[in-house]
Amino acid sequence: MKTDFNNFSHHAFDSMGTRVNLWVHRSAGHRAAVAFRTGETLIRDFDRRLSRFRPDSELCALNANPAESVEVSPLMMRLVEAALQAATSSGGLVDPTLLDAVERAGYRESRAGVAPASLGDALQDARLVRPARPDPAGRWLEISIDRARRIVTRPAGLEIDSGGCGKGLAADLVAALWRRLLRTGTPFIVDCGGDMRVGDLPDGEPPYRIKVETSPALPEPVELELRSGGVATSGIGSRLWRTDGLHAHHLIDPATGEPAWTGVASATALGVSALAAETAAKTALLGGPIAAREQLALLGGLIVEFDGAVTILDSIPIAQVA
Amino acid sequence: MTVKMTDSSKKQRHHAVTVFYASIALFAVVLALLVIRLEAGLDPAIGKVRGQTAKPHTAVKSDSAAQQTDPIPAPETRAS
Repeated sequence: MKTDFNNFSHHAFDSMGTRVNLWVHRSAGHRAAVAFRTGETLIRDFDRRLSRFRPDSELCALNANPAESVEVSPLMMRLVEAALQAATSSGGLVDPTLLDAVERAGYRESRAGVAPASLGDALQDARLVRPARPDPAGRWLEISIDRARRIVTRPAGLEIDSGGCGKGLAADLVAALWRRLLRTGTPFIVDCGGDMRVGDLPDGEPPYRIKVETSPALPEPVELELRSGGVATSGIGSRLWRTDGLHAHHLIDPATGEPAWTGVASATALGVSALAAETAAKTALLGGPIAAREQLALLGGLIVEFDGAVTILDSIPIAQVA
Repeated sequence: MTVKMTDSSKKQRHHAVTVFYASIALFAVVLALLVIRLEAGLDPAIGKVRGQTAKPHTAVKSDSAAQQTDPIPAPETRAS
């Protein structure tokens, strides 16, 4: 049985440099309107306080603070925790200390609304294709947190980036809020630019079916089925530009500090949360085709390689639609 | 001493009772319409969230012609 999204109310807006989509099942009644308002407020607040593109954000204030230990807000604490969690579970591939490298690669300002360069041209230019590796110095290991006192400690000058986990974390936070607001079992989806968290489905409800959009495009449409948790896609085609005659993108090889050309152009992952899915997708993309298959075999997903080859890791039902 | 109501007084009392019950009925109808509107998720505040530059958009699928009937988009995961 297929999900009928006409049984959902839908709300969309732009934030976090992307399009945010929210769905709540119509059985929620008037609570859907409250859910949309609270969800939008949370995401806009998240963006205002944690964006590296806003000079007045708490993240920029933390990065500019010369003190080694800084007291932070509960939301900032959640972001740093999430960043360290992503770094740990990816073995250092999803590294939150690469802000300098991202900016050196040319990503100094938000690219929201900026058309990406041609992926085909970029892949032709990619000469050295190899898996990314963790930074041998492992600077993210120098970040520590004191949850009780809400203190972040890191060497002065070591900047933290939210890029690797921000959207997934935001989707999870909205979902946590909605689980208290909506009746248990109310279906919902929180989508922050393609990184999604869904509400747990009760028995008897058909699973959510989520279409996968990749670059390069899939030869035929693919939908993922899930009943809880999250799904996310990471790809080099969406934020791709030319600088100094070379192509660059925002997914950095921690070992070299340069954009990673690993042989995987796009990776989609399922996870127990949106944050876990986002981390798994980025880890798969950075790890290259062989490591990506191992990574995604745990919960399921899909990779598209530079030559367009598609691999579906089908540990949970994944539908290919005609 | 017994006071007998005149025909005029009886008419006035009947009129007052009629107006009273009509008011209650009107109030009930208005309340029912309000509840139906809220149940349909059509809070008029949605879509006007604090004047942000981005344009929020809310769609509620309904059989009623009076309500918004934009198609609800299906979710898709993508890199952004």
